[in-house]
Amino acid sequence: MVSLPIPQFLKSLFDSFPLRTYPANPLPSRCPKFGTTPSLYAFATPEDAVAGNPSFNPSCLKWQAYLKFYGVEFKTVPSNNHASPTGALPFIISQQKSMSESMEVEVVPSDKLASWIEEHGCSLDVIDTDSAQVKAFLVLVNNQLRDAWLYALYLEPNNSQDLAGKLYCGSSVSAVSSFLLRQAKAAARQQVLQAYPGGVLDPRRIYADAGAALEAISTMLGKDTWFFGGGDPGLFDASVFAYTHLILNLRWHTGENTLFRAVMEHDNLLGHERRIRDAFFPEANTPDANKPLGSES
Amino acid sequence: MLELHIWGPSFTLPSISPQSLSTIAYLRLTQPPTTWTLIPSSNPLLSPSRELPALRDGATWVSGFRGVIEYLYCKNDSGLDDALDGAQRAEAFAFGRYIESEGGRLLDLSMYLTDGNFDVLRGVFAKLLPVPARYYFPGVLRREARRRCDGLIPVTSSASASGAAKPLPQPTAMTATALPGAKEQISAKGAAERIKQVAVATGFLQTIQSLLGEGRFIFGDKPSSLDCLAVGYLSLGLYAELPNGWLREEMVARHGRLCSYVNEVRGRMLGDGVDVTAVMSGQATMTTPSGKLAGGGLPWETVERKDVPWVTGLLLNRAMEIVGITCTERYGDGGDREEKTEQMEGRRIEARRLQRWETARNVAAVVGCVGAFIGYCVWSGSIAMEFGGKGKYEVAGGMGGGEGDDDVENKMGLLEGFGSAESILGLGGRGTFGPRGEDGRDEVIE
Repeated sequence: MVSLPIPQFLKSLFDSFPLRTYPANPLPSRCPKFGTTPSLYAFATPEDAVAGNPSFNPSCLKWQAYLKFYGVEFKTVPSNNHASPTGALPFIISQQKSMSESMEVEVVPSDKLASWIEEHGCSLDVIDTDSAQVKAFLVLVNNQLRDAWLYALYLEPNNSQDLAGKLYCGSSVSAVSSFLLRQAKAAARQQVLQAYPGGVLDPRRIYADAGAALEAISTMLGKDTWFFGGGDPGLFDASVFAYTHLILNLRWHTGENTLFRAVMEHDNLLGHERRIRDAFFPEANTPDANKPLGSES
Repeated sequence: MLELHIWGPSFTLPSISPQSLSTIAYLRLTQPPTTWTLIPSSNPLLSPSRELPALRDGATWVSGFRGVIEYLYCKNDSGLDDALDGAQRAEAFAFGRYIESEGGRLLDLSMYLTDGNFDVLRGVFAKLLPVPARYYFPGVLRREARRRCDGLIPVTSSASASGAAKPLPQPTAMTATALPGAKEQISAKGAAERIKQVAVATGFLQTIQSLLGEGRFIFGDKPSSLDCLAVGYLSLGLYAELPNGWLREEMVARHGRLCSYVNEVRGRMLGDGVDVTAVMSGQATMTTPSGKLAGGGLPWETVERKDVPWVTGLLLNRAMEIVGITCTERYGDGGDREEKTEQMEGRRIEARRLQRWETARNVAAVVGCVGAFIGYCVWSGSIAMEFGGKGKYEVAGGMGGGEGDDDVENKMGLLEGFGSAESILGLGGRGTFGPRGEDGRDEVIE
């Protein structure tokens, strides 16, 4: 590569405008200031975040509940997926005073949250999450129940407009929000299709699978206070609560509330949800006071 | 007579799909041999949900392992899990789902996403499928496997990349000094991949081994539906002869209990070794030189190879998928056991209305695009006319619809538009484009 010499007139022109570096601008005043309490970035409405109410997203709610089980003090910050370093919510930003007195920011993505919480919280009497039984039942929650949740929220025509559209794709420009909703629906369909390789989504089958999963989970809980006979609620309790609480509290459309009815069939799961809600989310909506539209049917 | 349609046999096993194997095991344990037949049709489009295995009983189709056992339970009023109590049944359900999800991903990783193994698998599918489908289906299955294993395999692994492996250094760069380094890199990558694979496998196999314990079957002395699933998934891991056999080696080396369990129950559940060529050519009852039945004692039936309708169906299906007219969501017709309330009706009508609207929109979009393209061709054709100096064509093209009085001439204009590719693609300036357009027109008109 041969470099061309700069013509004299250009050189003199550039010389008369010397390069100058300005000091960095201060950060905008609305940018977050990290206190000593860790912040959990989660899907939540601003009012709920201030009041410490449950998030409307199951995986965020799961970690929210788990943090509360361990008594870790935190504040919820309403956010969305674009804010996350891994592309998925929730994540925690915590700040610690290090040796050199300079503040050090630690970002904990969702896959490392469990160990982080256990390290920072009080010690609890919980069962080992690596046992075969817990693994197997977690699959039920993360596959069957989650698929039915995604189907009910995104792919039922009325629910997707009124619930998913409002909760996840709220934008002041209607064209943008309808595009976002379309994207979210396509992603949800992709996700659900993984379990149904034929490419045919039959809602009866999806709901029947979720119903069977709930049945098995309910049998496993039996008359115990917490799952698998633990003395304190653990990660599995948080996972189940995240779905049951949201399924019971969302205002599903009449005729598209199969999942709600499936949860209502199991009294011990309702009791489990109520125990966690009373103990850890005292401000949260109760299913009775906030009766879903379809519950009369 | 029950007909069980499955993905065809492979590696001496009666099927290449774990779900099909589990279903065969279940039928073999519960149904008398004379009441069912096994058809290696390998055509997922047969059943309404486009999945295999699929069971046909007269005009009724049910598909998937769970669908089949549920149907058989309703039909016979008895099943393999009758002896289990409530808690055991819940456990069987949860572990069954665990095997389907985690074991399925493990097999995906081993069969479809490991370099080398997939090529062997292509050869296996070539024996099972007619000509165009044998090139199409393995790719589809691999794509599905990749989607399911998303996040399980490291990004550097070739299997997770959308294409082939990261390209090796170019031959010119492979100088004497570069070569050992490249080799080292490749072997290090292979070792890292292997560690990851083994970690995934160990997690699953340990869980199943601890579940199995020391008993003959998982729940005591009698087989349950969970045993069928476990055998279906584990046997494919153990008996599939693949060039990169990390899963098999892992099972043999560290999970001997699982291997002995599968070996023990294989004959009872999946039949003895199956001769793939004999079964596919309809000679399942023939005895092999070693004195065994080629079909392994399973009630094989020959496939009716209706290649033409199948391929047509496949193509039609793809075309409809692309346009968006698919029947991917059906709101409960046929075999309704649910209550049919008015709300359900209303909802179904609503859903159909939405679907029709969606279809109409897609068709409109396609028609619009085609229309715009033709319009553009006509428009660019008319420019060419103008350049040639014959105003008549310009007028005809300007009308744009193609329904003017001088229809023939209009078509000429259109032809010309298509003729000069340069004008469509916007290549070439006006200067170079003029004389060429004139030549073209001369040819067309005179």
